[in-house]
Amino acid sequence: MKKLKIILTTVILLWMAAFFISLGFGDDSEIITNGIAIVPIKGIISPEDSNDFLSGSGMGSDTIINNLKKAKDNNGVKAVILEINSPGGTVVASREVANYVKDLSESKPVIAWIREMGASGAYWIASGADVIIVDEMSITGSVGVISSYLEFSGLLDKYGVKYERLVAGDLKDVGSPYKELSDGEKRLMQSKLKKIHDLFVKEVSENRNLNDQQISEIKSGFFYLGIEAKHLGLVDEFGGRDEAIIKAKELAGIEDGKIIEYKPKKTIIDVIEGFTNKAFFYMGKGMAIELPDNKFEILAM
Amino acid sequence: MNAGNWKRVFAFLIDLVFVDLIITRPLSSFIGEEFNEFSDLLTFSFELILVSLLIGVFAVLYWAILEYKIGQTLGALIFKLRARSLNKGMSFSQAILRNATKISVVLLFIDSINILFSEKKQRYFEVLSKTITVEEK
Repeated sequence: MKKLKIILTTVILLWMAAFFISLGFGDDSEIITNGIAIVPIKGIISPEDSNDFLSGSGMGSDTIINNLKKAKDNNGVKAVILEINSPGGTVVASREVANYVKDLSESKPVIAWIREMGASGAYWIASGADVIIVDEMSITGSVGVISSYLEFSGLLDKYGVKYERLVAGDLKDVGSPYKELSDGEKRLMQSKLKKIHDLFVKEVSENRNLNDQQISEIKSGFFYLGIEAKHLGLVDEFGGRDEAIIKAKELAGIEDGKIIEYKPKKTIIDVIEGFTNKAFFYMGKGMAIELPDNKFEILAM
Repeated sequence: MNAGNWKRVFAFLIDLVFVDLIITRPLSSFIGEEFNEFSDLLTFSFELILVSLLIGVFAVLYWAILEYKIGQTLGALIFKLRARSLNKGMSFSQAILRNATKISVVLLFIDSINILFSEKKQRYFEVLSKTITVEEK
């Protein structure tokens, strides 16, 4: 038993050391002579990487821009493919990436390849690319802004919980879920959303050279399937990874480009987090399966 | 009793699988994902050498630490083999020296040729480190 303990300890220590050292590699700054970089944009785009069990995982604009920067600074990279599979994200984070993509497209061809979804902020980013490639069934567009939230004041009233409002500045608690918005407050919030929306539409329209009719169509904020988006001029071609690579080679004027993927590096914390998230998920699932239907009803009451 | 050659080979193979899982895979994930896919050999040679060297060093440490601490690795434990010093207890430097050739399979193979000619079935680096591999009773 003691021997096994020593073996196990040694093995764990060596594995951890190897893992930590492996994190130090991959500073892919000097590699190829004729290459195409694939930069993933996946999940919800926010200022920082997230791996939240409830709100889902996503990439931070810092991470995405960092990867794009590597591709930009690497003279061996002749074209960049954005591998997009994202429902969008926060306004500022999406715009940061969109601006960087636009800037990058001035020095290197950028191809946005939308997979399952490239909507809202993710479409904003894609619009800055030279070419947008989608599947006919991809979800894209959704050029709108949303700031909806759950308002609990009615629920709190029901349980005798009172929101004690203490503010200096009348509008300080606008958007608090504990009180109802007044009409004036609603108008104010709506005007902020409109400003963001106008900017969003303006930048997308400029990026894609959309005419007035196209602009009025996309302004609704509705999402479009790839096949509809092409008709509206929101995307350029249908295809997948292979088509994106072919297009990248064509725009870069290279015949035999090698592929380099700038993936975000996982830390040991991410690995542990991912593991515990999954473990809790399956634990809950297991408990739910074990519960008979009537107990579900009791719990739901 | 000196350890049988086949037992040593199988014990080594078990350890090799283990080392592959805990050391080679984490360290070579970088090579696997990025090196294979897009690089040309020349521009990556430095990192390739560095990673290979690190894998070798960690592998040597796996054998050396366990043999120094308990005289056995996992493979040796299963096949009831034990590394012993010909003097008193095994020192860490002896453990390192006897396993130094495990940094590379080629070196280990060359080192192991000596077993065929050695009375005590020692590898050349076992002779140098004054150690021996025996079977537990």
